[in-house]
Amino acid sequence: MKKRGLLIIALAMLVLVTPLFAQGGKEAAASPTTLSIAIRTLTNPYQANYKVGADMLGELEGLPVVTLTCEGSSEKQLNDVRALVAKTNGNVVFMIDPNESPNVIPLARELDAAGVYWVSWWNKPEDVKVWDYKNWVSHISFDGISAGEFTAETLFKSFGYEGKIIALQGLLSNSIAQDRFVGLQNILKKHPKVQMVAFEAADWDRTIAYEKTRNMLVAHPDIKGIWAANDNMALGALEALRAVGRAGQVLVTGVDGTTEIYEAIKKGEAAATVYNDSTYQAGIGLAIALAAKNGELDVAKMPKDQRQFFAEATNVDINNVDEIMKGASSYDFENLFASFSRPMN
Amino acid sequence: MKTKNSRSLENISTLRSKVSASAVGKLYHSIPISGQIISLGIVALIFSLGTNGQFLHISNIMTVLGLSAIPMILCLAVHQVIILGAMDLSLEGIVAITAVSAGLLLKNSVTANDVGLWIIPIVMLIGGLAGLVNGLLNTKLRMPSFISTLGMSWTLFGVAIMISKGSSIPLRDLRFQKVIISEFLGIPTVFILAILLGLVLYIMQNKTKLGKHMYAIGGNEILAKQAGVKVDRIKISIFGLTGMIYGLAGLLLVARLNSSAARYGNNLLFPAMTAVAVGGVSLSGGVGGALNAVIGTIIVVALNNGLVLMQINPYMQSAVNGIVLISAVALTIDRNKIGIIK
Amino acid sequence: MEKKKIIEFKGIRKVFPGVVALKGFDLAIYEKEILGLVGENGAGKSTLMKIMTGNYQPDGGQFLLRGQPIVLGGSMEAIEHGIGMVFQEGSILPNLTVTENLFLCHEKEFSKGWFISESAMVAEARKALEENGLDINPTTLCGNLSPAQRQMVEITRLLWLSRLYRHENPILILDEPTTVLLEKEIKTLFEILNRIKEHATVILISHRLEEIIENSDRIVVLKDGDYVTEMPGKAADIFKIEQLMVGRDMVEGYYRRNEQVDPTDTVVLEVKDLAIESILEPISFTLHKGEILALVGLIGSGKEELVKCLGGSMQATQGSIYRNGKRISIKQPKHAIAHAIGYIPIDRRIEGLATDLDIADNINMLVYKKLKSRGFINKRKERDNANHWMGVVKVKATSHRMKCGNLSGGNQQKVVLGKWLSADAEILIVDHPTRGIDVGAKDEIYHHIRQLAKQGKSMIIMCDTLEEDIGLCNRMLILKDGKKVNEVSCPPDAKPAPTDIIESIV
Repeated sequence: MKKRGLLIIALAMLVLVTPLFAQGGKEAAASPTTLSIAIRTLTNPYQANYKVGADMLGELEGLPVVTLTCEGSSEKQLNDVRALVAKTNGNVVFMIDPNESPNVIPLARELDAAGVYWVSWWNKPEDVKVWDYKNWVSHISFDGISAGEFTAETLFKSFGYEGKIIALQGLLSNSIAQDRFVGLQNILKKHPKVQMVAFEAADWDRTIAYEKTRNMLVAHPDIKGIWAANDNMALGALEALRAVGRAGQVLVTGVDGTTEIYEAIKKGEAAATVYNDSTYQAGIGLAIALAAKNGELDVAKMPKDQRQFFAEATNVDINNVDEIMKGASSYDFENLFASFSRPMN
Repeated sequence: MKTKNSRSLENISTLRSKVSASAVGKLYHSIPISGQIISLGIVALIFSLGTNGQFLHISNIMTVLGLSAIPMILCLAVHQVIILGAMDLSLEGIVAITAVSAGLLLKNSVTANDVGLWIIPIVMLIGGLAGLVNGLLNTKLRMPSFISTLGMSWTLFGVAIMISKGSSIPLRDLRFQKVIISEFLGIPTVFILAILLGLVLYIMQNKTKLGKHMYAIGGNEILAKQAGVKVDRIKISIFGLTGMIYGLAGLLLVARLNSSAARYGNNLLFPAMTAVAVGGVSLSGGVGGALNAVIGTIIVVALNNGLVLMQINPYMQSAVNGIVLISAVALTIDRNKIGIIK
Repeated sequence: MEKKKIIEFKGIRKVFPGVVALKGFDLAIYEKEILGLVGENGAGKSTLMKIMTGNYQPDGGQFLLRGQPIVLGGSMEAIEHGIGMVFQEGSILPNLTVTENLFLCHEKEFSKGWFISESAMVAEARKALEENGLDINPTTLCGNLSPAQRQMVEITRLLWLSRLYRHENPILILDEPTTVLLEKEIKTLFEILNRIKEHATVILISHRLEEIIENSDRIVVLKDGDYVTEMPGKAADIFKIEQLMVGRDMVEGYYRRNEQVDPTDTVVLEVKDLAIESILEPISFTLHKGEILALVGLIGSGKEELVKCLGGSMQATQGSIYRNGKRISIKQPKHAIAHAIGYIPIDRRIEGLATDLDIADNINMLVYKKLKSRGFINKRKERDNANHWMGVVKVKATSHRMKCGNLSGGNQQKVVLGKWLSADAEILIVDHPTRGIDVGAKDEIYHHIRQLAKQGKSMIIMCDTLEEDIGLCNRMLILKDGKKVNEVSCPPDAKPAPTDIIESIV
């Protein structure tokens, strides 16, 4: 009897909870095109903002939006995309942040075969070219090198281009992490009096960044700045500095442009960040794919510069942080290639 | 079977029996964690040679102790369940839900709540309830704890993401962070807290009926039940207690970073489990205790600290870490005591 | 008799669906006696025990304890009334200390406020152990104790508990207590039991009739759920008891002597100068087709290690083994299997049988290769092979999918035998084939051994008793202190007397 009671409770819990997880729920009436973003997770603000942008465009166009998260599994990403294509009978466009670079190849083949237009952000092996596929409209990336360069330059400036720094890398195997790190190294070469005395990989994670920084601070108590490959790690490093009473004396920098780092910039605890506006990324990505689907863009005739390019991100430091924090109240999703910065070969 | 591989192990055990003959040996055997202490000594020796003594500098020791506090609390939590011969993988989920709850209930920049110090009982209650569910699933629905707690972890993590909308919640109440950062007689307060918790659990394990019965269940659940041990009740209470401690750790984690997010629970299970194993708590149950959890955590944290201090290339750290851990476990666990190796 | 009755059964009856386990008989058990309870499996011994420990309720008749009718709800309640049972498998927790095991669930006797006084517990443990003449450190982990010591701890626990509940004459039930013990330990056990008898009743269940006869004050024979007879212990005749238990005349066919066949001249196995450093000095012998060779010697004589070398679980340091004239090397059990040498170990539960698996899995374990079709194991072949060998060795089970852990000792032994026969083993090393098996099942095992020899299988056996060795074998090798000291031929009509052989063993 007891066991049965518990079972009933367990089932009741499941029934209660399920609607919370169900997405939208409202089945689209046959015709409208579904807008879908395939991203990694909703657990970090950067990725979560993709959804904001997608929803924004969805509202603007009056189209349903579906968010697919792969939680770090390339396999799941591909399967989810495949399932949605089947469910919508191909009446769908995608903005995809590929879980890993090689994953774009099966995605491109799959979507080409289904005739579904899509745009990818960030990850793509260099030798895979968008123009080899007819439905892969564009691949866009923010320029990691220039982001690393800007934050490094601003950081070094804060202590007068002379002294020691430490650095926090992202996931070592990640090309974005590598690009940003190359940016840092470029600026290090420019300023020989700045020395990077140690660097550690903190896997984009705030807790790990905190611990690694605490440990590095023991070996190098005399550093002047901490460069981090993203805001999350920068904020972990900042709390580590606070724990040893040096927050505000030693500045940190990150990349991504989160509210928390803006607050820190305003308080004078962080020097800079680069805002990769994922709201815009998702919105513009879907807008480009939708334009192709609606025949407003002829993919075959698009110039290569529009098929693969680096987009301009927003550099943020003390000078413009207030303005950035006010935020863009609306986005321009009509001018499809306005953010173009330089071509990607 | 006598193979070449088993010889080296035999050597260790003969070494052990030689040691046991002397007075030093008596001391060695009278301390339940002597193997772990020796291994910590070896770690310390290698790292202090590698860092010109910096590793053993008082400031670094305090850093290691401070950093070990939260993993230690988590290890103290999870080892209780492991003593029962069960497994608890719900750690990351419970930490996630309590961290997010703490973020949203304390003074923060997203909501208007401010429960102040009440947050301490609240997170312990949330964690404790989740732990109770773990216990009920295991005892009443007779589900293997390995899978039921894994399920709980995912569920709670999902709920945590839902209520936090996946973003981090900066705190506006600085009191908790101040406590975390503070020191008492030069020792990080949070470490003292962890040690106190360890002491309480140690006394519970060794001086109370509950403790004795925990070990009986870990030894053999069926025989314990035959002897009159109230197996279900004890298992449920221990799962609950473990959940409460997770909740506390979740709060400390939030306080340390002065911000809260569901993902702060990530990457915590592995170090806790490693500390359990390195500390000499048998994963098949019934062997080891709070002392093992404490020393195990210190070894694991000291290892990570030493690798950074020695400036081991980050590209190699993961591999070095793995090798050192395997060696540490190989050196420290007492195979006679642990019995069946699973 | 001036002795007082402590337990009395009147017309005790217990029925299970389809079986009458106890047919309704009278039985009295007295204070301060050692009662030997014997009978085949299924005779009703365990049912009777389970009524005494409160695990079963009788369906008819009366159960009187100290003159009062009583209903016991379970083993804890039985303990509260001074009835305790030491189980065959033991109920000691290996990861706890002796003290902790002794007082498990009664820690509150030693509480001071919230906490338990460890020192008071240890002191009481020491006292309790000493009272039973045991030299065991109360702070040792039970996992480090010998099986004998663990059993003693268990007995001490039961006696201590009965005193806690203020019973002057506790009743101690021991189920096959000697199965896990060495010769010397068995002697100690009975010394202690005899001492305990001064203030307690001991009920002994054992398949080793020699022990029962030697140590019981009174022997009660049960058969098919009914009381057969009883007799004073010391004067009893083992053959008589066996006859009563089985219910048929066994004397003539004891050890199935009349079925013994002479071996052929073909040498199937030859061992030349095999030695193990500091254990076994160089030994040489041969084994013929269809021969039963007994290895005889005390513990430490090297016989156990010798057979382990042949089975591949140990390696000799020198010497050579020839199989059908060809030199072979046996480094691992699988090599032995490849040369059709099967090893049936003493402790079936640990080495010979996967008790968590079912009968078919065990029987088929070594021959899955033969049961494949199209690369996969064929269910039908699997079943047929299992059923075939179950039939040959007469395993009593409802299905080939029955879990081996649920079988009786005799049936488990048969499954192991079936496994090796199924694998076409030509040479079987049989280590204590009848240990822990009741008389009826023993006879069946003897029958199988004879049948196998007739079919040309060769066997090396080591038995529980010297009589068994002599009775079964064609030839015996006597080992002492790692040396072969004698070789005796045992033809069916001219078996040597045990006394002659004992001289060379000791």
